[in-house]
Amino acid sequence: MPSLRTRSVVVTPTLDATATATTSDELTFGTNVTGGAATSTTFIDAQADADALAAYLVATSATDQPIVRIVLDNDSDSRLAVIRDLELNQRIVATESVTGATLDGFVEQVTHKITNGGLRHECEIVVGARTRMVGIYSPDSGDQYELATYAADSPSEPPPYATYGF
Amino acid sequence: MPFATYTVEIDFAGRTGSAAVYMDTGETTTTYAGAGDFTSAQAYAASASDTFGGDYDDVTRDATAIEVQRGRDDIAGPYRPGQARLTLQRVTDDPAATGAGGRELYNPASTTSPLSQFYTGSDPSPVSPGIRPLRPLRITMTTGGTSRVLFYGFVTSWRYDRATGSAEVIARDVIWKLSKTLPVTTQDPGETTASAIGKLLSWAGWTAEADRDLTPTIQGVTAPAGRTLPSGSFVNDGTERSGFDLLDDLLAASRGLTYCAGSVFVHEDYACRSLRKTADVTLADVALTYDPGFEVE
Repeated sequence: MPSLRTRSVVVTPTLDATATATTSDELTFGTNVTGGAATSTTFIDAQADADALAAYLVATSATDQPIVRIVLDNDSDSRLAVIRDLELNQRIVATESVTGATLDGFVEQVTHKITNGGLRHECEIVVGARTRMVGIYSPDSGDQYELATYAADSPSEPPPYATYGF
Repeated sequence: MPFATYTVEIDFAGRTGSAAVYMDTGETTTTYAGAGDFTSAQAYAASASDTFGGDYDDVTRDATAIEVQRGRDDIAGPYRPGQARLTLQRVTDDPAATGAGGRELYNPASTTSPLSQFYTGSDPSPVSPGIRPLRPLRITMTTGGTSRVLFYGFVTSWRYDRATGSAEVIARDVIWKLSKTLPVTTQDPGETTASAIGKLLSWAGWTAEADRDLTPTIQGVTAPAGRTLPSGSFVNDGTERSGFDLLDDLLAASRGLTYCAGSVFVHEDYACRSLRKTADVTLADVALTYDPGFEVE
């Protein structure tokens, strides 16, 4: 039975048309340069399916995707309701008030920390961005950490499964 | 600042089962139980059968810290079993008090705790031995008049600190439980990822339909059931590959994910993200923290 064995994280930095790839660029982008768990399955029996899965993995993992953390706490009743109902894989659109930066992504990890006899509830969400946050890590800006305007696709549109590169 | 209310419960009398289920917890020398033994021992697994109504089951007042975590660290990696970590401490004004009111209530080796297997006292309602592996643990959050189970799982670790009189308890959800089964599986015609996962859950005793959602409704649309498995691929003889191994293998092919929402085991096909055409949650006025970096060996 054919099986697929590949790396689920493939580093292929995608630079904009005017940039020149250099070693330092690769290091800058490559949070997973050497990493990536091997993907292996016995539930694929056709070469075409294996090819399709490999293409999918490359499309979704070729570029470094921003992992953004959001910490919520019990500062309002509405925020408590969000914390209560939060679940993995939900789609989140979050806006930072000061910079106006917006994130659109899916919940990858949730951690609740309840202390002080329940008086404090801290909920940390790890969100894998479905679209890039333009300016948050842009090679056009000299690789500066910069929060700027959001120029991702509309949240009302069906999300493409493949993510966008930088 | 508003706050929610929480209920933390451990079913100290539930799910004793056969000794075989304790496997590698140190209580017995049994490693993997025979598949049949494990299944029969887990026949109580439907959460609806749990009562959490015993005299000591509500440990909320003694829970000084609660942490619940689920998900994955790497967006390309597998989802880990959900985990809850509790710190339990029975605070008392009388350091010499024993029994239910004593500071050693959560000491599994105490002769004065009615939850210990070594209990020698005269408390009218001992649950000895109440502190055992795989006791069900449930954490419920209530706010705005609505309650939701944040975590439902099984105690896998219990460490008592004599110096502080506190116990650190770790519980894991049913995804962990799958790693302790060696399923014998056969494949039906047209078997899908979702139906195969359903068989693995049944083998682990997670049989109640109310506790599984393998094709959830996402924004009004019923999610796909995953891939149709190749003929003869979902066959396991119960000698080597665990339920978790098979689950991991299934998800590697379908790129789906599974998690436990409270006591409900959820499977989402990879296409579920495409079904989320609008935001499930909209957050304003939050801080977005991005930690770029790299590591070279």
